[in-house]
Amino acid sequence: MWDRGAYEKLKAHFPEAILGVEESRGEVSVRVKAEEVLKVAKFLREDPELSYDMLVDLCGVDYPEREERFEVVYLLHSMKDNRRLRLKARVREGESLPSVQEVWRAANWLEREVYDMFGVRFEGHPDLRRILTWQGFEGHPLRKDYPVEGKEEGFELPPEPPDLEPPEWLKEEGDGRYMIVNMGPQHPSTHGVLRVILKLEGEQIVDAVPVLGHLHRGVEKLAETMSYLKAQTLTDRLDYTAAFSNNLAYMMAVEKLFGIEPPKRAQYIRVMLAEFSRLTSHLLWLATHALDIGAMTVFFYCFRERETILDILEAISGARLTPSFLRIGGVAKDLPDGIEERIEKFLDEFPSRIAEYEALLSKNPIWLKRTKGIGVLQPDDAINCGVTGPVLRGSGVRWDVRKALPYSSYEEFEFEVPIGERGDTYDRYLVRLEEMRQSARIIRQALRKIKDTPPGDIVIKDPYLSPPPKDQVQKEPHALLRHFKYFSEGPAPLPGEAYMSVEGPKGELGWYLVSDGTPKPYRFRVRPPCFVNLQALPLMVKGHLVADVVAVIGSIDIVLGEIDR
Amino acid sequence: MGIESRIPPGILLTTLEGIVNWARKNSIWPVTFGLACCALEMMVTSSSALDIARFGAEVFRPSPRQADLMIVAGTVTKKMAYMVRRIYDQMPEPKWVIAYGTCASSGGIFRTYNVVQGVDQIVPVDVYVPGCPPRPEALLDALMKLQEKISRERFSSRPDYVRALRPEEIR
Ligand code: SF4
Repeated sequence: MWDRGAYEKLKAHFPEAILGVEESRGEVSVRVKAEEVLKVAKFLREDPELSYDMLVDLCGVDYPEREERFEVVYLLHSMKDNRRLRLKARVREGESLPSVQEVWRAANWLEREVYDMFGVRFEGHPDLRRILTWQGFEGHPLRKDYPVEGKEEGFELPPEPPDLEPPEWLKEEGDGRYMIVNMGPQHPSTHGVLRVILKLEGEQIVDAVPVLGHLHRGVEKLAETMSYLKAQTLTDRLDYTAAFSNNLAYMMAVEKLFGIEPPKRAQYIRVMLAEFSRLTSHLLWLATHALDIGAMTVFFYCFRERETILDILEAISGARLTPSFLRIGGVAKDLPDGIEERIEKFLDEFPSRIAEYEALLSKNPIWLKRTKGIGVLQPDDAINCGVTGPVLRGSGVRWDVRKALPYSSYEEFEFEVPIGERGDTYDRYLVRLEEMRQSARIIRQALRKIKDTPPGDIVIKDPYLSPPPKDQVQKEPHALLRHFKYFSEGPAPLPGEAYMSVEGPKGELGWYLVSDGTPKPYRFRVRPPCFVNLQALPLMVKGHLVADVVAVIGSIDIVLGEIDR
Repeated sequence: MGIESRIPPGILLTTLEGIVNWARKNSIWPVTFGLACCALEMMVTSSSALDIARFGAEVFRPSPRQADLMIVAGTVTKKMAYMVRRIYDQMPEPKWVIAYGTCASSGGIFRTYNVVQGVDQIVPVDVYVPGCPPRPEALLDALMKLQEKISRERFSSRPDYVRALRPEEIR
């Protein structure tokens, strides 16, 4: 868990560079001098005792009233010992930090994002361009003095598309041997609005450069204007294929800030919904992945099951895709009558449905040709790139947030974490199929556990953190006032910060929230699994053919809402 | 005028406008083009549960050059706006646009620096569908509304209408 010993060791090694240690909500952050970040990072990774081999997240926070205005926050993870540590470095306006991109490749895009959003530069970064907005964009949106609605009134079409030209370094050494081809952002197989610039030699891929931001909606900025409860609606719309997972990760971070834990029944309901989310997400992935590769039937089969699940979820939460079903300290509603039978019925059928997909694909020669040995990702590369979720497990690393850092009572559930052997597209396919079976297993257990808890015990009883019951609101003025205050302003946690993550269908999905003691989050940072996973795309497609890009993108299972935020 | 009685059975009389509109409204091919969350619900309409083929609109075309309908399903950002317009421009006439979801209709909940507040700032919209996301049935409803609109269309009021020159206009 959180590493309390690292500070002493670091302090002994770098007495100058280590400025101090902070603890908030049980999470340990070490403050490092900005210039020394690279040295410390190298040590953290290479020291056999510390061995922080994965950079989980890197983000910025803006404190305009401080002299050292920007804080860059690094979240590290050690696979070997399952430990976490946060580093923080502060810089003034105009100052820069050394890039840690050579230590953890994951930092490449994350640093670009900090540069884009805050204007903090990273020395030694090979490709420090804007990533979510475009070259030529004015200002840095996540700075506190940047208005949410932007600086210009209205909107006019630009004379040419943003980021039209591929980056300079891609174009070099062009003696007619290479060709640059643009794929997307409107392309049926890029799963939304991803654009990839491909450098080809014949049909072989020499390099691939994803261009992001075509769905950048400014969620992190917008959330800073909303109360903690209301910001949940934004989380639905990040990874819209699995909204409950997002709700869960976010709400747990909020609950950590408030220092509360929901009742058991609510936790089990959350687990059940999160696993259903995984199913809808994986079914959608299989449907589109198979469609991309040319298997149309699977699409219809998967959507059939997905609809059944969506119907169940709709009966529980009232919405198909965007439920915002969780509340601070619980869930919005108890399960409706008769839902158990529907779920049981679905669970009884589901294994035979998975067998159907397998019968269509697993031994299909075309499928094998298109997926076996395609897009291989080595485990070391995967960890270094910060890759998580089925992609990491496909490469043979048995790591799952549900097991490593259990949350919402996952430690009480029995399930396996499947892994692949070769790390190719086919293995990732197998891993996800098996995960679907395991999810069904978890749902069954959750259902049983829910039955053993008292009905109605779905949210903590705290007059500050939850609204008064509806019938009281209609009778008593106090309750009405409290209701009004709750929904117009919302509860405020004490200042501090918290990070919570879940094993989303795509990987580690986390929220890093900073509170300044007001009812609105001061910083609302999403740790986006797809964004980080997609960074491994160039590694995976080099040397393959153009058609394989489609298979590999499909097997990473991206969703642009969450990549671009 | 009694003319119907003189025509052999099996032949139907209609105006050219009527029959062209009838053909057009029953073969609206959408361009495969999803932007965000709403696109998932758009995909559902083509799955077996709702089967958009009943309306002759199941042929999702990845190339705008073969499509008649752009379903703008999702948030249009400023970075993406140029491409949306470009896709629209690449579609041959006659063409129609459905703004599916509040994002496409008005920017939705995202009143932020990178979101275009409604796709109608970029392309003309025929049918707006509210909802975040709207149910897939709502898309079918929009499609039917569009069909109604098409069946009422006059050639002369279409933007692609080419009128013959009058004699006095010929020099
Ligand atoms: S309207 Fe709602 S569901 Fe549709 S794209 Fe916008 S946010 Fe997503």
